[in-house]
Amino acid sequence: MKIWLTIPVFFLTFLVFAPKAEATTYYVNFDCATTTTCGNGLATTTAFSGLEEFMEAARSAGDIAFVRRGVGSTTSATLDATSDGNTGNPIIVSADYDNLWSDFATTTQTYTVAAGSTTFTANASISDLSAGQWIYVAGDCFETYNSTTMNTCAEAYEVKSVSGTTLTLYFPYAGSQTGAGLSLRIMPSAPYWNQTQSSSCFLLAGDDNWYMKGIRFGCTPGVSGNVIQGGSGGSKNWTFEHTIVSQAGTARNAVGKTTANTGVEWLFKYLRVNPVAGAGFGVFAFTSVGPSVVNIENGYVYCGGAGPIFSGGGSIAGGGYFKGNWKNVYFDSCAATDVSSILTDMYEINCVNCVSTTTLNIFQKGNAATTPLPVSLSNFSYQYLSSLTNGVATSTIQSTTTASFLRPGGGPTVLKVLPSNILNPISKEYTLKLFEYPIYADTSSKQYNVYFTSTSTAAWTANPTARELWIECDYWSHAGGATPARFVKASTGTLNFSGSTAWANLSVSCQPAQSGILYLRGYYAKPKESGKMNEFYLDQTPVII
Amino acid sequence: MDDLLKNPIIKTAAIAGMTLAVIGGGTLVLLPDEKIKLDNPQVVEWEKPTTDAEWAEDVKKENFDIKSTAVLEEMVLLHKEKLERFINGSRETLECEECIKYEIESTYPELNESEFEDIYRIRVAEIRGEIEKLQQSIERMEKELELRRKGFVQVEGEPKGFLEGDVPENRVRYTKD
Repeated sequence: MKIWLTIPVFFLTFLVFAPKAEATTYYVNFDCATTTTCGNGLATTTAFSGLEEFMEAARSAGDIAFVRRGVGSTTSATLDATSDGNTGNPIIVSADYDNLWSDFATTTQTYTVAAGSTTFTANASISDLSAGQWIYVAGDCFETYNSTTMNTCAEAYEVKSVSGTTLTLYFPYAGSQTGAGLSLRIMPSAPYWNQTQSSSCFLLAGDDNWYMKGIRFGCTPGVSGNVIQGGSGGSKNWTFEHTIVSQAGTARNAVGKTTANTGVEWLFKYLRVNPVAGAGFGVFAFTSVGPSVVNIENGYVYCGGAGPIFSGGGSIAGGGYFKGNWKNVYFDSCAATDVSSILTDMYEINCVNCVSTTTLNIFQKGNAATTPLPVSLSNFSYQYLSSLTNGVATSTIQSTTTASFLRPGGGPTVLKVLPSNILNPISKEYTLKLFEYPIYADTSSKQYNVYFTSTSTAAWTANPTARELWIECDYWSHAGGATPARFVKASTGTLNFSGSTAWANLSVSCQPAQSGILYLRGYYAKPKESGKMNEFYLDQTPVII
Repeated sequence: MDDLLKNPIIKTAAIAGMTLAVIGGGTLVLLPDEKIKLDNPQVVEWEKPTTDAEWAEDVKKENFDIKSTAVLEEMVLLHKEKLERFINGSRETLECEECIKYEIESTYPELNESEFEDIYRIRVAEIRGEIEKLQQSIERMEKELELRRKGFVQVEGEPKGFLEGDVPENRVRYTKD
């Protein structure tokens, strides 16, 4: 049984895009040739026939293309973009969430739904839903007739299976509705862009600031390709929401970058990968010099039994790195990672609430002699991997919502930290990152507080010093116009774990010189004392004053 | 290199008849058309217009006819900046073939020499395609602006161009931005 915990991460986002007045709305219907007329893309009745007609023409920030659901395309050309959006005003490609083509429906049966569950129960045998369709519970989302802006509803779900009165989703329900007698809105399957030739598939090369929502990408990439491929010039600030990536045949990998000296910054929100091809090919393949930051908020990764998370192309030679903050990712039937060719690589993956159905290690670094760190179905663990050559960190962090562990008046989840004996404050590589929260901060001074408690005073001989347990702010230190610079300010206080089990806080006051993203992080670097557990808890919800 | 940036529009013969100029050793080197055989070359196929009337129709392929003049002018600037940025960022790939092949070999040690060549050629083709597409878009945008300035096309709600008189309905632009 899969167990999902929703761990709230305290950060502010501002993802409601205010489109510029100059933005234009377009329509894409892969099936337009047979159903209506394909044309200039300016109406549902004169839609473009393919994504490339929108993406490969020059567009301006805020332009949006709505793509009809329930249809697929087969193409032989690499998909690329030509223009860039702006930060906060991306160019958008979105599946239809507003019934623009009048092909949505409402379920015949009603359902009982509960937050956190992947199954809905119908009041009678389900007659009008099938795998691949999308649903939302009435009241969670709203359809706007003739919409010209992206529907920001996130509580739409792909149907995984239907059996009798049971409807199963890939992701646990996180909407606002609960109880019985609820209708569902049926949306056709995700529009399916499918490329069947042997070069790069969806190539992100030198294009920044795009938002892709609700699209399925399928491909049979060639020797150097991935389905979603970072290319020359890098690709910054791409968001993929409700995205499905699928491959066939002797494919390479689902998502990757294989071009030197380019950086990618991608965010996947509700990513489903299925299936991953055979041994040697995996989900991610980030190679070559140049930084890669790939964050995932909710992922369902099916590896098919043979595919690993990181493929054989996982070598990042010469100083590149792969960083990822992953939350709520479910790995189904994934194999051990093949990263035996790593040289001076740096992988930094924070995986909170990540679950694997196999006991094979899926986050393995190094050659066969390296002891892997196993991830099992029942282990909710947060792993920090570094480029250690003598092994991997064996510290464990687990999250819990059990009431007895929560801080009175604090947040709904705490982290339990069990440090290892190889931690050392002399180097970041031997330091355990406890958390990182991006927070939109203005220029006022604020005090950031994070609360900790030890499980037992007897679990400690000496308290961690300020260099061994600290929180820090990373923020803009210039007022704009000058050479960009950020400042990191660390806390200087200590906690009395050996003398008290009461909740106590570390605090740091920070005042950015300009508004922007401030990162609040926590680190621990005290090696476990011999004969002592050195176990402690931290409240995941910081208090900002 | 400077010529390419100052005059990012490669002239008719360049797009129709030859492949992209490669920056090599600081000078422009034109590749012969058939040098690289690719499974799916990312080249821009474009029968370039020769008359104002043809241009007035051609620009519609990228919907520039529905963009207001101010937005088009901004788009020209942004895409020229992007083109310059992209060309500069691609210099290593285009000027140091051995550097890139070494990186490819390090990444894919299991492949053979022929496959390294293929990967490199695909990358060059992708870069070439990106540059050509940007150049095509920029030329189309600039041409649309020129037609508006001349008054060959007129934008509803905007001042008329040089010719001042009314134009046929099919040369009236109705913006949607």
